[in-house]
Amino acid sequence: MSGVRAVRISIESACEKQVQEVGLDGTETYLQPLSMSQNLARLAQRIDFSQGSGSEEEEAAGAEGDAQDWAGAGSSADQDDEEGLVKFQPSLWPWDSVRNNLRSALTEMCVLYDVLSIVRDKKFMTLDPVSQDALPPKQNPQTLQLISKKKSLAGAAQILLKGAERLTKSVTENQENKLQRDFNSELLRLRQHWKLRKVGDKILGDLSYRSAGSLFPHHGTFEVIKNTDIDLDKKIPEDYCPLDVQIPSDLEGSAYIKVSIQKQAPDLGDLGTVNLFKRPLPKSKPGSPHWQTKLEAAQNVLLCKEIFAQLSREAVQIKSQIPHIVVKNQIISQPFPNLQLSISLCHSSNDKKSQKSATEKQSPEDHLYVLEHNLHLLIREFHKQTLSSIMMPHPASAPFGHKRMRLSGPHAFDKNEINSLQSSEGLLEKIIKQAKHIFLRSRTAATIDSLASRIEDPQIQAHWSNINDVYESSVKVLITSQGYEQICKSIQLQLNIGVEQIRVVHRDGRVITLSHQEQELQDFLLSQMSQHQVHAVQQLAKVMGWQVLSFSNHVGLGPVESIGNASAITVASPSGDYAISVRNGPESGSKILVQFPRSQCKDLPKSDVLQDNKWNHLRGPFREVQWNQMEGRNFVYKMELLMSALSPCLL
Amino acid sequence: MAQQRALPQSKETLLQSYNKRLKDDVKSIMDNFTEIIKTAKIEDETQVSRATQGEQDNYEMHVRAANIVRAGESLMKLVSDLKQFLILNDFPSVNEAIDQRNQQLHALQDECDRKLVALRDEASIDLYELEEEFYSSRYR
Repeated sequence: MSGVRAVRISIESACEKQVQEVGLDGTETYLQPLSMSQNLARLAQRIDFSQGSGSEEEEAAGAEGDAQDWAGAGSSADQDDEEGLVKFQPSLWPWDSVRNNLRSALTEMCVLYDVLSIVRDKKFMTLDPVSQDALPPKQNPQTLQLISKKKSLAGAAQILLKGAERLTKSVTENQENKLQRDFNSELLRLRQHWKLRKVGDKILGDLSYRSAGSLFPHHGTFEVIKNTDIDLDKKIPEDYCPLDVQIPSDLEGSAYIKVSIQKQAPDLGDLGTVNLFKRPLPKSKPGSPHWQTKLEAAQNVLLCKEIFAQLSREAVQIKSQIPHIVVKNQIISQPFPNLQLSISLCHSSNDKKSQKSATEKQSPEDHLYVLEHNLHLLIREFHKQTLSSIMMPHPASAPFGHKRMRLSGPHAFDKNEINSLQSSEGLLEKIIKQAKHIFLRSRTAATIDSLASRIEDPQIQAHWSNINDVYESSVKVLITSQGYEQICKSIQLQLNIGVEQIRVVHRDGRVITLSHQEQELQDFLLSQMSQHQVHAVQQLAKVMGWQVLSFSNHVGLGPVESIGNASAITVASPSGDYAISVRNGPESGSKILVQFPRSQCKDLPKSDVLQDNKWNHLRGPFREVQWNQMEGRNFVYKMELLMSALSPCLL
Repeated sequence: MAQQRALPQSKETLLQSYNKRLKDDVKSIMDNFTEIIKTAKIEDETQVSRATQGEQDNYEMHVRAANIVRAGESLMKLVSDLKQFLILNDFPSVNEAIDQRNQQLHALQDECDRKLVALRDEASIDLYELEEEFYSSRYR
């Protein structure tokens, strides 16, 4: 039984497969041979012939009958057998489901066969390929959509690529130009030198000296600007800097404090005129200068303004005998009579106009750079003071200072001592003192030099000390005779030049105080010079073996000198035959007299008393020497000649 | 943490805002990208006409792409802002720089002082002889 069935299945499936494929695809038939049998059965099952038209049903019925005919007697016999089996063993038969399926498959195959035969005959039915027009309208919107999406995606990608390119470009450019043109590195460098802080979007810096103790109210703020608008494609200038600073307009340009001392007071019309002469600044390139130089210049302007503000405040506050005058940008003070100290603030901005006027008004160079420098030092000292007094912890109830200042009773300071401790000397007072000292010093030097050039004999030598103070300096004055420096060292003066006066210290310790008037110094030196000559004769006499008979620095006899006193000396020759008397006055000059022995005086009237020969050894009268006609280049040399002429020849 | 707490309030908030900006920007990149991908999907049923829909999608994608780029730029800006913040508020390094500069200037000052003193001594020795010569010469 089973063998027969198997044979049938194989035959039917091969046959049905072909048919099935034609129905679906039209062309492809043999690609899926075996598994399609099941598929075929299912598809056949789906065909619901009962729902077809009446004619179809009839045809189907006819076909069925044909199929049964075609199947032959064998199949009908099978049907009978199977029915019998089902009756006996309804559910236990193992091949039951197979058989059922096969049967239904057979039925369907038969139906299919019928359909196909009908289709083949083309009597009642034809199979045409399904028209393709129906599909495109359905797919069209989707492709359109696809295309449009593709396009928009491409657009979006383009935007993204562009953005990425820009980002990478900026990153690489930053790396390339890191050394020179990176804003952040410049900012870092700026930060290391200046105080910066961020306010909103801006970066503000501070160039005031407030952190150093300044109390100047100017805020001194500058702004940091990112200067990156430059076109990267074009050639970048050499000095290009991505960082720029914006300084306040009143701090632009350059400024300095001009300190000068003038001999006579200017006419009042000149007062307060702004003499803005410009110092030759270091040649800056036409481009914008580097921020560091810019900021330093601005800070300098600020400091100059602060110094000037402080000075003018003090000038107004301080009461002095001759009031200080503050006009516009100038402070005028009179340290000495007929002498004026002017301190002016010169501030020139960089614009052309002021430069032009500055070059026109070039005034003579009487600027005291030392005093300008000292003003800067003083203001810094002032800053330091305020800073330290603020910073230090100190008792709130008492001023900070020496412990004795807070004591009471017998150990307490009195008012004067406390006052002396609290030196409340202002900037102006200090600078005036310094100016006085500088002026006094230069005048002393001028006096000495003029004396030295005017008077050749004796010589004046001045040796300035290299150790000075702002308020004191010293000079050593030597009065010598040329050629006799070693023996004539009598006069050595130490001049200590102070602020108001000059203290003269002699070699023997005498101290003389001179005022600031130059005449006093001159007179003093003249009298010293005249004394020197007499001292020189004394020294010379010692060397030559002459005897000093009398010596006086201040002679009370003779004509009265207007300056000092005349001095005199009398020396006798070693043999005692001759005597030389010298009188030297600062004004009257020198007068030299020689005393001869009586024996050499022919015109002496014979005396009745001195008859004896021994009296010839007495000295005779004095005779004046025509000093001008003596040979010799200076006084001491002449004196030496005279002495040697009067000494007896030993050989 | 202690350092963080020591920062003043404004700095704290500033740092937080930087953090927020970073997160926002990254999130924006992510969101916009996902939205673009979502928009790229072809959908059958639309309530508006296909042309309008296409145009809208196109526009949306462009805007979203631009948003991504903007977020990227914003991140770059954030980086530069952070650098600036660090530069301006990095007080230890600033103090170090100041110390270094201080030392440098002190060294310079010492050197200048030394040179000046040497110069002064030398000049004063020469000056003494010159003065001697000058005052005994004919040119005084």
